[in-house]
Amino acid sequence: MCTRSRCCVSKAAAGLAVAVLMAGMAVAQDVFSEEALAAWLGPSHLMVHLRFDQATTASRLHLSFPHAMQHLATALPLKSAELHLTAGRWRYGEWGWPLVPAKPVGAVLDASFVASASSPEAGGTSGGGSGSDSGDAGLEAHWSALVAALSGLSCASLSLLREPRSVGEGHTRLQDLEAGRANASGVAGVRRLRALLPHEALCTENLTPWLRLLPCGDQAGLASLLRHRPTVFGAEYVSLGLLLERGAVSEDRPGVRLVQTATFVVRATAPAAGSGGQAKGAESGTGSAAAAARVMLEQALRAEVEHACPPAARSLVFVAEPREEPAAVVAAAPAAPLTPAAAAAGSCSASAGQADGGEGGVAAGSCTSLREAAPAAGEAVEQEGPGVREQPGAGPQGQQLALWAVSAGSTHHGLTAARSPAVPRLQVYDTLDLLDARGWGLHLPLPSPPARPVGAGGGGLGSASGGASGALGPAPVAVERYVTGAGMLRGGMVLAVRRSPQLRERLRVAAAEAGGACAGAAVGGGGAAADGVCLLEVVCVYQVFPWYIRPWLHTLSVLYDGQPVPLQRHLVSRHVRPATARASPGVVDLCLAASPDVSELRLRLDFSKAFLTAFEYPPDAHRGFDVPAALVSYVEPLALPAAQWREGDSGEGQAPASPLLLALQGGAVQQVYTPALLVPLAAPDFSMPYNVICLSSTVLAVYFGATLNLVMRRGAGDTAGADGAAAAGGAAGKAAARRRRLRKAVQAVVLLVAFGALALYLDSELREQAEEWLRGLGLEVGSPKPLLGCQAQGTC
Amino acid sequence: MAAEERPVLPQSRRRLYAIGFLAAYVLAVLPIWYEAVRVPRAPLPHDDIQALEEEVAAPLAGALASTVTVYVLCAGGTYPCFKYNELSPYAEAVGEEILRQLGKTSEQVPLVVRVVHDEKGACSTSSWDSEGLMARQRRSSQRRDSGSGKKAKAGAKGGRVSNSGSYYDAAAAASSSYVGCLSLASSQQRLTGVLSAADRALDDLAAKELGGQGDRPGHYVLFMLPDLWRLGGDLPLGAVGRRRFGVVRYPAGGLPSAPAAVRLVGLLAAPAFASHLGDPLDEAALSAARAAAASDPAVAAQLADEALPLPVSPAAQLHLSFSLCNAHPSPHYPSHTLRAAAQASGSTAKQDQDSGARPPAAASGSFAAFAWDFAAFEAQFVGPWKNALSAAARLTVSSQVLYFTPARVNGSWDPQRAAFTVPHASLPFFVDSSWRLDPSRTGLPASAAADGAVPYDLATIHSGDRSSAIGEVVLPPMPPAHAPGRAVAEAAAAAALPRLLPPRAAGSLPPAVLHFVLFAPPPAQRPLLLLGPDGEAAPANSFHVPGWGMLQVLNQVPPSGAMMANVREDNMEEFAREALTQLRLLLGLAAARRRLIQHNELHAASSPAASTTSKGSSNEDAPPPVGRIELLTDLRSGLAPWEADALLRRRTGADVAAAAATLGSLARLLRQVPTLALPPAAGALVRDAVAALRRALAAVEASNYMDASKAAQQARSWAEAAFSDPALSTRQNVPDTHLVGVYLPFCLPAAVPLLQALLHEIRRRRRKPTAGVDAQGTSGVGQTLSGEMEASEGEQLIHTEPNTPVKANDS
Repeated sequence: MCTRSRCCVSKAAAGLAVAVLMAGMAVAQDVFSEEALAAWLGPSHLMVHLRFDQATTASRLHLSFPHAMQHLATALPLKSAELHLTAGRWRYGEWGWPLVPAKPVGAVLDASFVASASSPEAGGTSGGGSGSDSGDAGLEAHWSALVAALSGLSCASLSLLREPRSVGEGHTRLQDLEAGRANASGVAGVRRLRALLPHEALCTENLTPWLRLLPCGDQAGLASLLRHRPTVFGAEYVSLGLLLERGAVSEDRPGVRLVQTATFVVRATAPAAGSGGQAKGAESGTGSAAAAARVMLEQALRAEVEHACPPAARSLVFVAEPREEPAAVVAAAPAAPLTPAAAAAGSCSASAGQADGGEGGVAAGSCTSLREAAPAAGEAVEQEGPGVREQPGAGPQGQQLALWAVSAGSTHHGLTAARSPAVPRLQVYDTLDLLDARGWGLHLPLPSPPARPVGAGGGGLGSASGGASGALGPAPVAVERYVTGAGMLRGGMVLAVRRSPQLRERLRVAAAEAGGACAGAAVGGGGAAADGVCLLEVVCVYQVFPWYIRPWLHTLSVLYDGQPVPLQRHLVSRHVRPATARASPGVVDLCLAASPDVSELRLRLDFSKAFLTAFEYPPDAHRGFDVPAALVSYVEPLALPAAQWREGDSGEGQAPASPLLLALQGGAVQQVYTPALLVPLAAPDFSMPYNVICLSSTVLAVYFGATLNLVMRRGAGDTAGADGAAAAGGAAGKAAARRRRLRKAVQAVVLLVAFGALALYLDSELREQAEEWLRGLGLEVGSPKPLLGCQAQGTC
Repeated sequence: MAAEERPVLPQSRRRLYAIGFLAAYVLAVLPIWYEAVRVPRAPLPHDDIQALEEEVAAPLAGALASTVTVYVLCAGGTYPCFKYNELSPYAEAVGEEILRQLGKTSEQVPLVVRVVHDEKGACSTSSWDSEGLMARQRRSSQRRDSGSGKKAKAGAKGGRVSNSGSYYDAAAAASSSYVGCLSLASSQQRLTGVLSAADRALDDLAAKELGGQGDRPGHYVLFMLPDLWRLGGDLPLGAVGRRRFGVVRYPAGGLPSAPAAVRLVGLLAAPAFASHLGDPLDEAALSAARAAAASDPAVAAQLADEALPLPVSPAAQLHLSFSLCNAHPSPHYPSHTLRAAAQASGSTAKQDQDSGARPPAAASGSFAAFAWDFAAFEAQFVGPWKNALSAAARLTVSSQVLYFTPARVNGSWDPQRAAFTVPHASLPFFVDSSWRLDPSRTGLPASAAADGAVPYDLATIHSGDRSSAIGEVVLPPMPPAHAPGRAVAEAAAAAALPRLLPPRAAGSLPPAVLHFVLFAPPPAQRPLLLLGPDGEAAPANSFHVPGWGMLQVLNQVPPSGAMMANVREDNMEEFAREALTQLRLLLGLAAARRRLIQHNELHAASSPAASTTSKGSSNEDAPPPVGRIELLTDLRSGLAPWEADALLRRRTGADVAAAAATLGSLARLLRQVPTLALPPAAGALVRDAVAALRRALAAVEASNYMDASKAAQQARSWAEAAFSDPALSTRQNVPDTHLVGVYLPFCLPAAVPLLQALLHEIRRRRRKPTAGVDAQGTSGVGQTLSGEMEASEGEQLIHTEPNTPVKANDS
């Protein structure tokens, strides 16, 4: 069973970079490659995705790798760190499913550290092992060092992430469920931390340092597509990404890899067919009339690629062809067998996880259906092929790429290939060739934009074809999250996940193909992540609550299609960690099984809001507090195992080793971020501190006064005793005096205890100090840890 | 009265309570208040710091002495030799001459001149200490004596020449720390071998003969050799060797004490062996230098360079960042750039364009971006610099290649030179701040043992719970694991490590960065020529900016059509040479070398005329003419050990002064700003710095270069680290009124009942002698201050009433 996950992809990509390194080694220790992807999302929306890959094995003598990143990677026991800065929301409803995963608004930082004990110190031979065995403290120090470095390197105010209110540690990933690691926060020896900062604004000051990390900045290469800043930052969705990874090429050669991505959706209008002749740069195009009617890529971005970046080993532009019209697919006779084929492949991917790109075949035993289905699908594609091929014929020298699933089972030839309908075809252009041939400027014609928004499509007709969704189609899953309730004390949160009919159809077919194991697990699946659970049906929700939002887990209710269902019956895995005030956020990580018939999952949860101290409020206290985006993951059956991008229409030809394509290929597990949420919290009167000082001082004064009074008072009993003593001087008087004294002492003790308890209740610092003292005295103070632990394990 | 005893008891007990509570209140509240208000501050050795400051303020406190041994070889036979009693005057004369050449007085220079006279069968020595050195010794012995309670006796001897010149054997010489007798004249064969050796061979020979004792920092040997093949009228010749040797060849007919020979010794020793770079000049020298500077801009620039602080961080870190900048590795020019270039080149360029002198579009074909093999370059050139300078500063190196880094200044076409020229005045604006040069603040690049070709290893330090790479340790290449030399190499590496590792606090002090840029101009501006201040082409087509680094233009034309090309070997070599020259300049080392070389130029200029003028004007003041001076260069590193020694002297002196100043100002700062916190870690650093400074001063007196420099570096970096502690920069500005305002609401209400009770008791006590019954009724009770007090007073009122019967009883 392949239990690999998304990190598998990155590993494969890293391996690829390494392969490049080894190939071109000897002299150049740094490699750099750049790629761009352009796709229409609607009649006026163009998505451009840039990806810059740098890798190095050198330590300080670099050709193009930025020293700062190298230093960061060596100074910290980092395995990987990923930072995304995003402005604007991805409109799933309009733009459809993103080709590259969309990120939530603000900053997302995801880092995994090598646990210090087994840390492979890169080259640190004379320095010895790192001294950070202190676990959490060390991790915290590393995290804050990383945050400080990254905020300096990206000019972002990430320093707020150092506050513990949003840093969560690892979450259950759908892919891990199978291996029974539902509780583990990841691979052993690696600790993952992630934090979201929803109100971080992205602007030019972030882009400039980001560009400085590139060998040519925005002066040359594909990065010069970003030169017109008003276009970039006027875009409706902009996301800058930075991924730093550390690996080892071999035993003694550590390697560092830096991936920078920029995704943005710009508003671009295609010129009308008549006015196209006047379009800038059209005269130099090859196909005059056909090309003139199209928008040029550079024109849409108002920037020109003038020079090639010399260190770039690869500089490619991918242009997504519009999807085939559903009509063509429907018209093709064998459309029916196509669906089960794809679905079957999906089931395999679901059960087998995501196979490594290099593995080729499918090893899983349950995936027998693919062998029968694949040829049929192959035929289907080959039949429909000629119809499609004419369309991009007008374009210049680009090659065509499509995602093909290759299976080892052979009926016709040695290898059969089925083209994945989930991903569009791509037209590839080599920038270096273009610049060489043409002088400057790429003059890449874009295909004509679709008539209507990609995401708005679908409808009843498309659902029958099954292939019309997925990437660059209507979103298969819609996620919604909102706050209910009024008032400053309590509230509720609702998270709704809607599956599109197409997805349900695919899931149903896939589940049917996968057979009994799936059904059995679905029915009998208790709470635990038992072996054989059908991952197709599982939907995972990962939500981090800042500590001042206190969810009440007993109020958690699950509704399937509006009907409440018992949570326990559908729970596959659960990882709940309550928040610690001012120390760590709460984490709710649930995986639910929902049969393909369920079209809407709805989770409701009530929470109460905490009161913050005056100094914990941000300057704009009345804006409300951000609740970070939730992450919903599910299995997309269409993602194929062993899929490769191949040239041509029949799937032959060498697979181009491109990191961007590998990333596009994605995995079976899809992840969607919900939009961020604002929760209003009671804002205090900010002159509070002095009031508090006065109030607490008064309380203390009352305490002192009362004690003093108590001790110094001589009540009626006193006089009686004194009289008695004076009069009789007997034993009775003495006893009375003793009793009196005793009573006084008791009163004093009661007073002391009462006020002490009050002080302890009010002041957490005092509480901690008291605990410290008690611990110093050798007393075992019950800490809340064990309770949390049992909750974390889901046993209580 | 016996009846009175009983009621007194509760009263006195009450008093006791009141006083007890007051005491308890004071005892409990004051510490709490003090703890809350107190500024945490580690104790500082204020007295030590002050004493050290005074000690360092004394002249020549941190100045390392240099010992120049003039080794006079007597040829014997008919050639004249020194008599025994001539040695001391000779030593003095040499010392005076060196001082004259330095332009300083005897009090300003710590200098020891020793004369070793090697005659066949016998050696005699004599030594001369400069006044400054003796004064320092006197001071230290005084201090020692006053410390131990004795009266100062030593140092009263006025004589500066301590003539130890007795005949002694070789064993005694070996035991002494100074260069002893080599017995070069023991046999005729040996003697002729030495006398006939060429400069370079003599250098090697001396290194071999002296073994370890001669090649120590601060100890220089100057051989006075009679030149048997030259006549009496000839001028003496001199050479400065590649290590710590020099040689003066005087005509064999004369004595080594001939004025010309002595002057040549001074000329050699003053800049090379005895100079203290960066010293504040005295008035006379300063005015002379100013006059020279006024006439010669080069001298002015040199003086400016020398006066600048060294680009070395307080922790003695220096990072060399090598960048290869490709200004425009592309055949295409956007139209606006071309236009700008045309405008910049001005009207003359336009005319030249018409006349066709301008190279027409040679750019379009050969536009390749340059790359270099820096690993090999470093191993060949930069590595030896690191080794040579390792005692004075820890050098680290990184390299990168940049693309599309246009200069901010465009060259203008000069038809005479057939090149684009950039005038000297616009060179400061040449480098664009948008070039992605290594920033200094991201820390040092970590070097891992990535490529086996370069013998570097990574040194990490642990700061807190995080280890950070701090520098590169230069270690010799290790033999393979089971080779015979492995153990020896490992031991050597282990011995070298502590010297090369930075001090503990270096992590918090960023290194100084020097940039070395090799700039490939855009194809359309090739060849590019930088002009010097005099309007001529700058030497080696480069310029330097003090404290920043240097830039050299690479005018290599790449093969046409290629995308990438390598920088040619000879260009790399030239870059290395220029980088070294500029590094020497940036480190303030160039002056000595330049002075030695300039002497030759002066000599060449004046020698034809010299003979006539010296005869004609035979003035007493005119210095006797001397011959040429040869300057041997270390082939491998290019930096001679005596140059590194000079840097060491300067660095040690500066470090000692800076450490004392930093400690002093820290102490003063803490004394003046009482709200400044000093964490215990910083306090420990200060104590360590004080100890290291003491060690450094002791080592300076013992003229132990290595220990002194190491201790001085430690002292300075620790002092700086303590001073730059974050706790000191974030001063909590809490005014006193605030302290009172916050704590008064607590202290005051709690104090009121106590004070009231006290008042009550006092009043009662005062009235007691005239105790009346109604006194009880008005015993300060009814007046209440606050609502809460009212309640307690009320209770008091209640419980005072029962007392009345007691009193009534009394009455």
